[in-house]
Amino acid sequence: MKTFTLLSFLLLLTSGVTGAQSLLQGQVQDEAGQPVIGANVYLKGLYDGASTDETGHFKFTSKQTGPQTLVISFLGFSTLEREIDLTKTQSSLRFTLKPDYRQLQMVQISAGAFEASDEKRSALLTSRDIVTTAGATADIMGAINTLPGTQKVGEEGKLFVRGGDSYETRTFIDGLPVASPYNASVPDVPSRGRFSPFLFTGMAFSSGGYSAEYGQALSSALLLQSQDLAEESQTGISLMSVGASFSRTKRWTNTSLAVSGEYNNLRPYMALVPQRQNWLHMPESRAGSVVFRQKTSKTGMLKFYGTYTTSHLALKQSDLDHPTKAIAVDLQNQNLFLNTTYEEVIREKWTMQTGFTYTYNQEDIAAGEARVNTGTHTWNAKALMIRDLGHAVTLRTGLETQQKNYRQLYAETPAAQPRHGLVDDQNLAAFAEADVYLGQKLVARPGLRLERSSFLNQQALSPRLAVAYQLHRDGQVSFAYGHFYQTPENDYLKHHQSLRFERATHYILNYQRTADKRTLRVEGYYKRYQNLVRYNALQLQNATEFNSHGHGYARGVEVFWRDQKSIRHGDYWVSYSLLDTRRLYKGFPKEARPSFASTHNLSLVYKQMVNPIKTYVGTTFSYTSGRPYHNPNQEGFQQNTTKNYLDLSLNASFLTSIKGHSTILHASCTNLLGFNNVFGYRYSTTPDAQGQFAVQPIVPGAKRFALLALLISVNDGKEESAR
Amino acid sequence: MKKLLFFPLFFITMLVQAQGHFQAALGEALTDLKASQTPEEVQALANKMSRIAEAEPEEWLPAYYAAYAHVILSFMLKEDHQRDAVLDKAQTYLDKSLKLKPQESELFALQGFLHQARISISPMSRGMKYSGLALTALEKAKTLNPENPRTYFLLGQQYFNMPQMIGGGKEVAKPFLTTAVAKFSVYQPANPLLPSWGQSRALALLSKCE
Repeated sequence: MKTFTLLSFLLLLTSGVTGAQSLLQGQVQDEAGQPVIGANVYLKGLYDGASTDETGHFKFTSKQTGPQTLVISFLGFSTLEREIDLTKTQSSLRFTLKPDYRQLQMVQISAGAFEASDEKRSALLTSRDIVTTAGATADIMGAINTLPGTQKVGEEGKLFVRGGDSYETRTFIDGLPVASPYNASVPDVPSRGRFSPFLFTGMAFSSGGYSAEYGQALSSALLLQSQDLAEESQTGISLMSVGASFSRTKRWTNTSLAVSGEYNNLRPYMALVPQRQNWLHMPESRAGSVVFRQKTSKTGMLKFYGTYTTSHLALKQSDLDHPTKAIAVDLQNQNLFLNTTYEEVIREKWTMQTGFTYTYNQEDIAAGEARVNTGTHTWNAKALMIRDLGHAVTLRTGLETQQKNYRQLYAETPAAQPRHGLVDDQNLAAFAEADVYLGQKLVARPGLRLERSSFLNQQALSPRLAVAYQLHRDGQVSFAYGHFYQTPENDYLKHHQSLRFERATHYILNYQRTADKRTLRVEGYYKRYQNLVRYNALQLQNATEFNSHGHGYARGVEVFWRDQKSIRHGDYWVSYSLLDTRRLYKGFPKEARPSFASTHNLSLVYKQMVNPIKTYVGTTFSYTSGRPYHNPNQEGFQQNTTKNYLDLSLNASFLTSIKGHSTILHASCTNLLGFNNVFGYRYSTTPDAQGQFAVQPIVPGAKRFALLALLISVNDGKEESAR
Repeated sequence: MKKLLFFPLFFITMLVQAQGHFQAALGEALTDLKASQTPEEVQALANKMSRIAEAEPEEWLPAYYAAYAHVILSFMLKEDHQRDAVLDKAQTYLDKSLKLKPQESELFALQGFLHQARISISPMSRGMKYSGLALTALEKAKTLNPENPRTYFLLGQQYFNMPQMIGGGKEVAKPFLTTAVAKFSVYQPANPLLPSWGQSRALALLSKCE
């Protein structure tokens, strides 16, 4: 009986009927004194708590006694914890929550930056936009070429940014530089980017003022972010008018592996569509790649990407100096690219990113009797630490090293003594950068990058700064400044004359307004070049002396407008770039506008889903004002201008499913209206008997390029029905 | 001897009390959630579910409902970045409950629902990625428990909202919704706290397919 009584008492006790209640009440507000509505206020580890009402007030009772921890949390704010003693009577409590700026991301640095991302809200494009841009034929560089800041240079197919030469733009995959981002090509045959846009989930194209994390690029950085784990196991087949590819993807819980093979040959297409060039071996390439992903922990990710490509092309190019003898040019290329990255959150607020990449590029060119064999090994390693300090500062520090071994063998005739070109360079870099939120409307990103090149025996310190300020709800201004250094190209280094880092200084001012699926972006910039490479002849092959005394400038204004709202199921963007640039570099006898620089560039990209025929149609109109060229038959230098370049491209994707497997039939054609575009003129190096230099226009291989593709992806286990 | 008997009894009592406590609190919050109308009400209940989940780190159901309430909340908010932030929170609770009960069909069904919520924020740009993720999660839910009606409802909803040309549409959705309605009518949760949502929405969607 006694036991029973005691037991009942205990039961009563644990039920808490006898416990005293303490009342907790108060108010939660933000830094501006505005009430925070819906905040969760509770005793840590207990049910006792409440949410704040429309006036930011909360009120709840607790049977707990003694010291407790009161937690106040709400999305977008740093969680607050406060020790309280419940034995004492609580007076009304007041809490001020501090915004977590990183989480809020109200203001973004937008100067120079163009982002394509499927995840980030701030991105102006998605990766799908890249794939579906007409005229780009699914080439990343081609699609980027419809954005402001780029100049169209049709015979090269590469990115030329803000009066910069193509080598001034560097491509990075997961933060690591890509040594040869373009397919190998010969003069006047445009090249394409090596990498399929389908490999990436995000892209950021920066036309200047980029982060201290990236170096060795004078003008521009193209940042590609590769995909994480493959979403599902599937088999992909693509048949194109220019080739075919096959891929197999397998997905396990924390691992995915994709293997693919690709074969391209332009012979059938070029047999069908007459070409102006006299092809001996139409472009042919084989490629194989492996993509491996391993989720090593909840926050850790190991990525490996490897690809090997061989390509071959040969054509007869007329030699203006020997009109009767065309020269056979033959190019064979092998490229091995390996890229590994590992990312892990080491401790709370500490993230580590490491990466390693290796590239081997071998180019064997035969031009008439001459032979040029070039092999380049490039190793890169990088380690980056990201640290969150408090609620308003993110610090990024890192180290990077690049080792480059360049070997070239040049023989003018098989009998001649071959000449060797040799460059071994080690580049070491350290960088530190911080994102500092100064209140809700202002963010600053100061950074420093220190680089050293063993070959140049020189170091350079680049300060960088970017600031963004939110003007009103939808609009912000952004400013960027920085020094950018780049080691001169191997073609100059191999002469082993005293050269320095080439240098550019950027100043960028940007205004951006995004509201209701419409974006307006206006940007102005000034860029100063110093220490550009100069040599003592008009043509590189005749040069004997090289120095770093070149200089130049570029300035301009760009406008970008995108509207995804006004047209139902439609979307368009317009970009316009105005460029004024002059430089004294290479073999220029005086300061002049280089041949790749066009004053006006306009792109109009329009895409429309046509539901009745299940087809996604895209069209791109491009206009590029005339580009300067040098006519040796006249006085002066770069004194002539080509006619304007015009293009209207169209593509259409018919989306359907065959037995539940997503199938896309894609057709595209460039220059629908058949404009006769001329990229420039080539002159003979020696005058003829009348003292005239013979001339030949540089034109595209064919007026138009058309592509037909069938893409099928067969998903494992999709046949299951509603049973 | 008597004293020795006390202690185990005492602890068992405590345990039973705690159990009853979380079930009662959760049950009450669930009833309120069903009656709630405004985002403010749902936010308050999502907060309450979160408190229970934080206090009961060994129970999968509170974390499940904390995730569920946040997903529901995400549909009621206007700003895209807020919706994503709320879904991030939902995902952390869902991850917690998945750790506690990795073979639970309901958790994979909710994962599919969460992915659908992500799609709804920006269907054009996210459709491709998250459709695949949602379908994978829902297939897993179906494998783990073929009788879970929510799986079929969510599969139906997935195909209902998917454009016809990529394999969606009303005709594709209809058989899933029919199956869902049939399975809802015989579904009896083993206890009232187990998930039971989705029936009325399945019926509404099915009527749109007719």
